[in-house]
Amino acid sequence: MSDILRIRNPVIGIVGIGLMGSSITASLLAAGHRVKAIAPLPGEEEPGLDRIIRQLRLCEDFDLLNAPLKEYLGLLTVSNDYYPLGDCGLVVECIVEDIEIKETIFKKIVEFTPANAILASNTSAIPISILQQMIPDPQRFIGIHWAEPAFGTRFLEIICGRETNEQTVDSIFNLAISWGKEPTVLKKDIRGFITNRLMYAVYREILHLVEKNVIGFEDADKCFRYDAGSWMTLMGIFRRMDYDGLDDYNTAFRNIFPHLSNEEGISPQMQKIMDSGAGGIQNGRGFYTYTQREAERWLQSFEAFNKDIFHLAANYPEEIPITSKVTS
Amino acid sequence: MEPTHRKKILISGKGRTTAGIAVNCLRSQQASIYYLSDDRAEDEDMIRKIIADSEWRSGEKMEVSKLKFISSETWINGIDIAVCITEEDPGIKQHRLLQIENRVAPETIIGVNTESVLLHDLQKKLKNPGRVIGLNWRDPAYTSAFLEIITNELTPRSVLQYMEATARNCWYKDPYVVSCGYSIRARLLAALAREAFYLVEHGYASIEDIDRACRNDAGYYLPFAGNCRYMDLMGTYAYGLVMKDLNRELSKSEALPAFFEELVRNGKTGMSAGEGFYKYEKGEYREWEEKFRKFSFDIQSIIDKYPFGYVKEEPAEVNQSNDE
Repeated sequence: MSDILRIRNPVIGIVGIGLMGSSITASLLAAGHRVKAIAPLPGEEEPGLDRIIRQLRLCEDFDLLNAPLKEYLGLLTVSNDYYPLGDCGLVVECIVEDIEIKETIFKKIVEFTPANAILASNTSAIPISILQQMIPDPQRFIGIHWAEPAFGTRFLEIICGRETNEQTVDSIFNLAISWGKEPTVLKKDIRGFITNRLMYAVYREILHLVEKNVIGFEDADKCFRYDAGSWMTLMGIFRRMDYDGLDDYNTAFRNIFPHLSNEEGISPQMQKIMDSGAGGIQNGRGFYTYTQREAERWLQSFEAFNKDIFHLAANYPEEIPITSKVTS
Repeated sequence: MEPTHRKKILISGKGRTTAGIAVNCLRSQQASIYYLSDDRAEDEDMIRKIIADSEWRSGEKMEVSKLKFISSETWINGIDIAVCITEEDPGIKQHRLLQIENRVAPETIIGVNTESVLLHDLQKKLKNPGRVIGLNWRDPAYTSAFLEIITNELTPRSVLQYMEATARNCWYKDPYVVSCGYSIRARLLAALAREAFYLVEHGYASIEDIDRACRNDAGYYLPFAGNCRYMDLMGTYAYGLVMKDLNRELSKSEALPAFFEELVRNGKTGMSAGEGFYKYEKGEYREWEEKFRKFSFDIQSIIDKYPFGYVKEEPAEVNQSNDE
């Protein structure tokens, strides 16, 4: 075990070490936690470990490691069995979005973890209120939703199921702050959580305006990149409205809300894009088209940008007091 | 009319946004700016502070002598573009446009900010309605490539071409044009706000949680290339699948939430009033202005590093959107 690193409690179990699980594992190792990574599928330990090492290298790139990489690997075990979860205070499930598979996995997790450990899911698709019924005491079950890469942003969504208790929320909220996150709490389970709902509301309006032939996708991108994109890292929508003054927003929204799209399904424009097999930069077809070289360049640029924005955002943190969250 | 740096620009308005536009126009060294202000002392002071701060941060020098304050009675010969900024009130906008129309030559283009007032309504009482267009800026204008040009069927092609060229060549903008006569920025922000209101009103999240979600998720990718490009980077198809289930559950509200209306009714209209969605201590508004001014330079330096389509490096490989 390392003498250089400051080791944090609790020991954390990660079940499922695909792309997201390995990214979360690296993020927690970088924060100084001992991590018990479980690869539920036979033969997945080695590729899983490779992925975690790759993600740790990216953490190194982001200047997130205070010691050589091998010191962090000393905090990690990867296994096929669930028994290493025996000393975990928190276990996070990161497997495929399949409710039956999740049920099987949670049975095993419950069997091997202490009765007071917090159990969590990184799901972005299945309601926490449903998942928490899979364990005997659902009050200690919660949703924890990271962005990808898990270490690359301050984003972390905490989702309360119907039966999640305050103590569980407070514990995860305070733990997240110790990881350098600025957590958001969704007090009641709702589809899409907070961030997806906000942005899908914008996507719906973009597609509506494109449908009406009012704008093209590039106009929409220019608009939100140069406007919202030039303040949103510093201010959320409410702070921005406070900054601009609410009077004009009051008049404008009153006039505009009745004209906004209420489309309930996929717009014909989006359906057309989906029918083209839109993999985005993966296959060159999406809202835009890409040659292979262009796709590569966009990806490389985005990776470089991620680092730039990470360091810029670090200069503008929010001071969040460690307090009781749900009761506030 | 040929776009040239030797322009005469009339700027009419007051406050921080208008002052920022004046500074933005001053960056074009050969322009002459005529500032028609309701509060000359305050605006002059603000402009001087912005210029000093801007020169210090960017090293860019501006000729303050090119900026002249004028009274509402002055007739200025040869104004190329009149920029008009007012609050979101159709009556005030119309009144101001009539006032400007009477002081400039018939060929002067008049650009007015509008979030929700239709361009058509603003053109109504004017002698030469085609020369009035919508012109929306991002505050502060001098660090941003944002400019929304709003036109309609009355707008002559020459007016649009002139504005686009001026925006690109003299104002450091990468403008987009909407020819439907209303702002799409306002629509997209309204869509975002409507959903944020819904989540707060129904007890799903707090104001603080919504803002954190904005800052720490979208705030980390929007400055790269906007929404649609981001979906392409992440895998477009999956977004369509989510829309299928999620869209029907998003807010459809046509009305403003009671908690927002109450704030406005009680004069809690934001930072300048000391309270809006949040409460502000004395001096906090100025601190936010300072912080945002510094941040604006920082974020613009990143945005400048990643141009759309990489046209600068590879003219042969300009991306095309599907809808074109």
